Amino acid sequence: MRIAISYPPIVNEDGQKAMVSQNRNVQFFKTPTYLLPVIQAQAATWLRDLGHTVYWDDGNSQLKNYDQWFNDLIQFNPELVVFESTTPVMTFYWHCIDELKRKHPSVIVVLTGYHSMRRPQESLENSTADIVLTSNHIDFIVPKLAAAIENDPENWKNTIDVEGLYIRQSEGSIHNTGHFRQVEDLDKSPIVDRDLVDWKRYAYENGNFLQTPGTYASSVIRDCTFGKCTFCRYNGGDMTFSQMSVERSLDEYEKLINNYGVREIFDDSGVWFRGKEARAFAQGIIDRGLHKKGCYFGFNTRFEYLDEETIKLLAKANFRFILIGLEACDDETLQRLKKGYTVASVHKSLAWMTRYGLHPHLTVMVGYYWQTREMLDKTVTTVRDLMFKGLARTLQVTICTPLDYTLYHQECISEKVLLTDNYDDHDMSKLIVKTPIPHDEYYEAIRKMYMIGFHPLFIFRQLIFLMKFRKRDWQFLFIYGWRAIRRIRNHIFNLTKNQGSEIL
Amino acid sequence: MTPAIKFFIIVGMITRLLRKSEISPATWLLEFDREDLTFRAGQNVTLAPHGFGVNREYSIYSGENDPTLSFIIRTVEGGVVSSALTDLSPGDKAELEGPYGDFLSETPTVGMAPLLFVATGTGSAPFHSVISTYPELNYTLLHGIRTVKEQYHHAHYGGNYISCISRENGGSFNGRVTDYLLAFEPILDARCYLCGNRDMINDVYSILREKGISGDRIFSEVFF
Repeated sequence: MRIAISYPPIVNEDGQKAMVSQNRNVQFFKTPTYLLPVIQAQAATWLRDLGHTVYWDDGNSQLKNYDQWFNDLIQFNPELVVFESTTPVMTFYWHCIDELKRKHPSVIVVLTGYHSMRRPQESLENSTADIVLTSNHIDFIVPKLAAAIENDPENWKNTIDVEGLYIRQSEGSIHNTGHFRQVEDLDKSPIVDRDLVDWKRYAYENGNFLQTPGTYASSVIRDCTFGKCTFCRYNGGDMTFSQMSVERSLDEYEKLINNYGVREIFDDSGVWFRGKEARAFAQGIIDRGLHKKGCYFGFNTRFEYLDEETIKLLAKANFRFILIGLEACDDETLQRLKKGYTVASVHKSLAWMTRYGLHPHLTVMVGYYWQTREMLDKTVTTVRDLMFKGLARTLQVTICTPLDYTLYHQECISEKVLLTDNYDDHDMSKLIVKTPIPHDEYYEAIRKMYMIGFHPLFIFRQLIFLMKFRKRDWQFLFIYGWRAIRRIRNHIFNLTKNQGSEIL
Repeated sequence: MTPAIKFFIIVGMITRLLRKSEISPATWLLEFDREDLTFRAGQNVTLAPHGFGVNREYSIYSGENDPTLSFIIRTVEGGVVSSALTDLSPGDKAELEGPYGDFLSETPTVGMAPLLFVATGTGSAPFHSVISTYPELNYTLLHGIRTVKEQYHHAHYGGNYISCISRENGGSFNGRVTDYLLAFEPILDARCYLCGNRDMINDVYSILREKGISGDRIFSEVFF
């Protein structure tokens, strides 16, 4: 079959692009970060290996405008097109799919992604999409789907035996093929073919990379080991609980370093290995000599997951960037979000990481519908303290936006605090929930936290780090620092542009 | 706040170990002061010694109405949390967050479809909690273990317990749970709950599907 894995360019009225991919929370940016969607990339690789003609069609990273992207896709003459959905781009996708089906009626359109997964009928009712996948195992399901279509082109909708699909039948009814298999053996899915997905397009514009070219590894954990945080899409009955073996992941790292010259590798698993797998991976990097190849490694984790000995070993193996969610700095919020850690543990975890030279990156959120001024101030004060003390090196702050019918999203609906029913408003550029204090105070908090990066105490701390004579600290100040100025300005603009225009 | 939402409010609490006993080599039953924690059978919590800085998720072993909160913890080689927890002495403090999860998606009732519980090792914990809470259920617990001594509290389940022992003779069946299931004719409308290691869940899922049980009736909880 002729199959396109497609990401259309989505540009807002400010000329910013929506960064859809890798199940992340979509934001619009003028200077985007192009993330390689690794599960789709594994699907593309697997489909190609099975003999299909695959078109890796990321209009964003390929710097196309919408018309160019659309015309190129039509030119490819696809039989199957796979899109990734998320709440703020749903209406765009529905229109886009309708336009595609008008121009190319025989194409079969498949919607993946967490929004449509959780509301499959909605997308089938609001667009001419043919199929919605209810599983995040896109690489396992799309090849089976393609085989079913090829084997029975006339009657596949009635004969298909692949779980995890909502299919529009010829007479207009919707057929649910049943709950998908949650646990898959990730070692069966191929490692991403970097050439197929034109990996260099994702290798430079990414704030997670101190050195370039960087890349995202095939995720070792699909979804998240923890899987309980209410605001996160990796939660609930569609969790997949799947894990790749340590050896297979090490093989990929070795290939990326030796064959592609990659200088920073990030694994975007919701939460990366912990415990014995984390130690086995770090030891494997050392045993293979990959820690001496000038490549840094990074991953997402959570507080209270990594112990000091594991962190020490990770540092020895040249791990650097540790992305860690500090969603709030009051225990009530952490408990309501079901984070599974307390504020008291934050200092300890970060102290272990910085002691051994890792660079913790905090992902902070504001704007929960219960967040009081006191809670907000505590977050700002604690984050400032952590940054000034050098316990965290970088941060990002976002507005907690209900998305993809997560538990938090459903809670906002049931508590009647959601201020809009327009999916376009879920683009994380503004607060869309009722809050106990004016929205402007949250925007101001965002500004204050981003401005920490320009504070003399923060800069002084970075200078002190230089005295340890670690290459990464010098790079951090003199390379990353300059890049960060541009990014911080970008972030402040995006997240505070609605200051003074509260929607009520 | 609606009662339904209130039920799921989680707590962070400091508790105390009341008792501990080794129920098989390297596997301990730890009983903690429950205080006023409310949970639903099948749920889990994060648990750590007080001030330890690292925690792990553990399924609750005790029933919803039991006076204490208990867990079975197997010390894993190099497992810092399991070792630290099993080193606790009665009276020592532990930190607990939760409860979490909705493994048992439907509250069990006596007249409901038969239940097939498949567990490996300490993966039997959520099922022990369910059965302690709802002893009249129509269920079968299939327990994959390596040795006879790992049949934790098997008398609790009476004739509903089938142990599949892989490394020595004894128990109900010699072999893995997958070997047992291959020879087993399942009840097609059974609700199947799988808990334990990933490989077991992957294999058991395939067997149950091949035997005609719908994917809509199979629920999984992986122990990482």
